[in-house]
Amino acid sequence: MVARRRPDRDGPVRRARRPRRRHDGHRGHDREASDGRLVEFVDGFLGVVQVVQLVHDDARELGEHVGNVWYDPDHGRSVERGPDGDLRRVVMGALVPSSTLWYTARGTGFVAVVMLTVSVVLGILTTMRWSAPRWPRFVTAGLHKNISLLAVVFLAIHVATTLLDPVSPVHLLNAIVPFTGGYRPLGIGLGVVAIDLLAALVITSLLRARIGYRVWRAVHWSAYACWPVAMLHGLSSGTDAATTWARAVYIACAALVLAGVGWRVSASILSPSSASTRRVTIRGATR
Amino acid sequence: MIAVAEPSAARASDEPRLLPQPSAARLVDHLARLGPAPRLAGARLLIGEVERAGLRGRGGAGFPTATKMEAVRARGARIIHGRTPIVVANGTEGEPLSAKDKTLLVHAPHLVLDGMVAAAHAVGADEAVVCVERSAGPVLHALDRAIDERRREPDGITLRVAPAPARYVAGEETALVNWLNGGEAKPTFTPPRPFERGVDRRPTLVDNVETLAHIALIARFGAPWWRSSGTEADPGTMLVTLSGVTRPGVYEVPLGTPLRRVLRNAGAHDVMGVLVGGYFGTWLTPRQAAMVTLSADDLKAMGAGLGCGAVATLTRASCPLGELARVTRWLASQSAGQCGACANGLPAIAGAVEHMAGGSDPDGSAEAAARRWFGMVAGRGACKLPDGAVRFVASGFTVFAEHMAEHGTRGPCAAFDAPAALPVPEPQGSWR
Amino acid sequence: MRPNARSLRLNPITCVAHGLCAELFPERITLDDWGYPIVDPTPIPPELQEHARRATDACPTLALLLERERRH
Repeated sequence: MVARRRPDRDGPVRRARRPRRRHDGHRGHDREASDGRLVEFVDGFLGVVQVVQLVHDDARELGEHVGNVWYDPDHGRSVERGPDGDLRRVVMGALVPSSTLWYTARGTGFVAVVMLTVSVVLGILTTMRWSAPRWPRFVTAGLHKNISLLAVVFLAIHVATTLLDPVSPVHLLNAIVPFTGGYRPLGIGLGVVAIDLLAALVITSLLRARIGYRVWRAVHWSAYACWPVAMLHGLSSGTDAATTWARAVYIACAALVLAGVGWRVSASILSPSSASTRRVTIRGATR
Repeated sequence: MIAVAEPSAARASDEPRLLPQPSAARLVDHLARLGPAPRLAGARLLIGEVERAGLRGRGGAGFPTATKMEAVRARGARIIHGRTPIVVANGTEGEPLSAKDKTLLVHAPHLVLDGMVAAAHAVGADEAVVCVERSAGPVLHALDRAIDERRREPDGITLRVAPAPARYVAGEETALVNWLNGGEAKPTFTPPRPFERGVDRRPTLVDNVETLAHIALIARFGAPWWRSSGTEADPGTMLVTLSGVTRPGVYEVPLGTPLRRVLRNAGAHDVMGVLVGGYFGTWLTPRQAAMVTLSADDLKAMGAGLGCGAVATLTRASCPLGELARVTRWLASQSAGQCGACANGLPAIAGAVEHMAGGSDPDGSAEAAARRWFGMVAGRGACKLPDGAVRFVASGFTVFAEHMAEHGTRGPCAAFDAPAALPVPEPQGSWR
Repeated sequence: MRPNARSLRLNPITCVAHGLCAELFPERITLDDWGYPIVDPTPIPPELQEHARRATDACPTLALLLERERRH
């Protein structure tokens, strides 16, 4: 994080005078500009003009995060920061530039989708008893577990950075109650649902010995709901979803999972006693 | 054929006790023969009396009955409210070679019902269910009638009849309980055993109907009387079903009776081998059969057990390998299919025996494979079906070794195409 | 034998022959001709406890159990 001073054009940069607030009384300095975006109003007409000009230029370049307000491309309007905006600003404002948070949110979200894809495929391989001479089954099962947990870590960062970003339009309430909020309620809501499903999957798996196999298995079927919901969330509200490389990755993920599911379904249709349930049939004898 | 009894002679120590003739299916005849049922005794008094009598389960496992009753009673006493114990009378008799339970239920249903009531009082139950294969029409009919007759004088125990699926393992105690709970009649993993958590999660006493009939007799006439028949180590009488003999049927015999006497009585002849304990049991050579008595220890020394008391002889008119093959294949078909070792192993063993019977095993590789599978299969299921099947085949290999060698060198014997001697029922419907 | 020694037990009904247990604990578990585990029921010494725990955790159907001695 670098606090860049703007070059002196009209005299020294005048620091904004902020009204005293209780919660940032311990902070000794005001927040400096970073990445050319100021999130506070600066005294003085000229300063304001410069800020607004800079901010609008950045908006076109960086996307939708614009200074104090945020521009909703779907509805062509501006959306105010929510009531927790000040808190977020105080908490994160002094630590991390808003754009860093945003990039992190985007990056971790994308990686999480890829990880979830790999996890689903590994889960299918586990059920199908796949193994190779140098790849025993416990490796598949272990990887499935560990990659799922790693995906949880990435998602935790994804959610945290999204919520803590001062200019993010997604607020804590939107993350708890899906399909609320002003910014793409459907897309973000899908993400919330995916996280809820993943939480159920992971918690039941960690407590598997206590809840018993049947309950665990019943809940684990929701993995087949969690993955598409996560993908849809990424496709609909992911900032980078429209780019070519992102589309390529999404298509690859979908292809992998569809191939895996197709393999599993065809195996259980062709020979019901094999792989997934392995309820052994009595060969040759009348029942 | 039913053993003869005089109505008032039931108290004499040598006379048959369980199977009356003429039939005492009606309540009046039953009471005339045996007198009234005893008033409700203190719970532990009956259990103590059964323990003194030394009664062991007649369903096949031979577990000490008093121990089981006490376990259920104690468990029921520990539960504060909700789950009172329940008695399940097991009359399913899935063993094709056994007919004693059906016979007992048709000719002396009230004796069994008396036993259920007495056991229920002893363990603190208020409900007793008798399970019978739903294909056994006459038995169901006799029980319904008997329960009807008792309605006039209720004794505080709710009695009902449950028509169970006709499958070999349905009579296993956890399978029966699972079915009564609405599931399939397939064995379940233990613990918990039914005595701690069974029907409706209640402590459940599962006893064979003959065991309960003996409990009824002990309740009436006491342990010393009951022990007056049989031997010190193996007291009391038991019902045996004899087949493959000239006079097949159900006989009541005192324990400790030499097997040869029982066989001679029933007209056994031309014996090649004797199967003791049904398809769950063990083959004996004619010489062994001539030496052994119907005693648990005696039979154990020969690797056998009383089981459900079904004894079958194989005569020289039959091909032992062919019989072995057919019965083993049937046992494999009776697997619940839940456990890999049984569901895979029994058909594999059956296939090997079929090969041997058909004369397609000159080098003995099928036999070697079968022997290897014996060790691999026994003891690895949730119930004892794989153990029983392995015991049946392995002891058959020992007793009929000569015959097997002939099949190996000369192919199937002349008797291979003879009519089947050992009965194998047709597949019967669902597991529920 | 220590009084609270643990040993392996298999629920043969739940077991569907994934075989991870035999991969992780070959000292005590082998597979039969059909891929189902043959479990050695003797108590497990301290140096093998960790392998036993890994094997029971890895079973996809929770069929393998690590139990203290009990009568059943």
